Amino acid sequence: MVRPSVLQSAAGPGRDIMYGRMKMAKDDTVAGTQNPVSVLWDRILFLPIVGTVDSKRAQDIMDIMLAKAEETRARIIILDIKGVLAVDSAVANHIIKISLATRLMGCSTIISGITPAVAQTLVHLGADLGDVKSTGTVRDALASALGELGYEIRAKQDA
Amino acid sequence: MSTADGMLSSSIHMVRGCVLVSVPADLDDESAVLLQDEAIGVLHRLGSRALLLDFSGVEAMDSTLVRSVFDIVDMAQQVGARAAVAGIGAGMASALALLGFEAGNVKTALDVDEGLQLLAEPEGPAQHFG
Repeated sequence: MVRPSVLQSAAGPGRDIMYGRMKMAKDDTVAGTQNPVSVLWDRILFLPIVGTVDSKRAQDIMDIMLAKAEETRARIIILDIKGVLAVDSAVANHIIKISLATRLMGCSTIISGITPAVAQTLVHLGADLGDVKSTGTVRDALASALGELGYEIRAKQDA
Repeated sequence: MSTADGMLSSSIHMVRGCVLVSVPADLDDESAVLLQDEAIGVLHRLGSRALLLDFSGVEAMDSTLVRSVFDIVDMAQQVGARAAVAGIGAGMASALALLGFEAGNVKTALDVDEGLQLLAEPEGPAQHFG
């Protein structure tokens, strides 16, 4: 019995499978580079979202965030949407979905980078972020996250 | 799964004053109700004030089943206990979120260790456990 080898099948359907695998691996890499999650502080993750958010991108972000949250035992995730080109109700819904998922893992989400224009748009559209906490700046989001984890930021006495 | 009484008690333990319920991976509608009975029953019998539901043995679960397990948290709160859910993995969390499943006001934790910390007695006047 002839065992099918990778070489033999390279010209046949196997090639498509190999190509498919390579493409999947490439897609994962692209999703990873487009959505760079960093650990901002112990148990605080930070992801700046730049560009457009469609359902595919939202799914990528959710998968990456959940995997990272599990890996780093994160308690709080800060999503910065300052760089999102258009924030509408669809984007708001994607964000709520991500927050629902992380919430199930004991991890809360803070949205930062809500510009006045975005705040206006969301209110005009009647779209709201539900129970998701939102702040104008990353600074405020970090302050709130650190506060939630019991940290306190103070200037040195002699400074 | 057999619905014989006592089949489920093996998945309920007492850990540091907290009733720890390990949710079985092969839970079905019938055994979910049984699990509710058992969990609340044990909570009452042992006079504990805290209950933690551990999903870490579960890879995937129907959202209605997850809801009925989450209901145990509400039930525990009704009898005056603190309760939370722990150990939901990334895969299950994303699947549930896509179905629009909401944790509501149920407290969640990453794993059992975190869950026990979450349920730990808040500092204040000493309380007596039964």
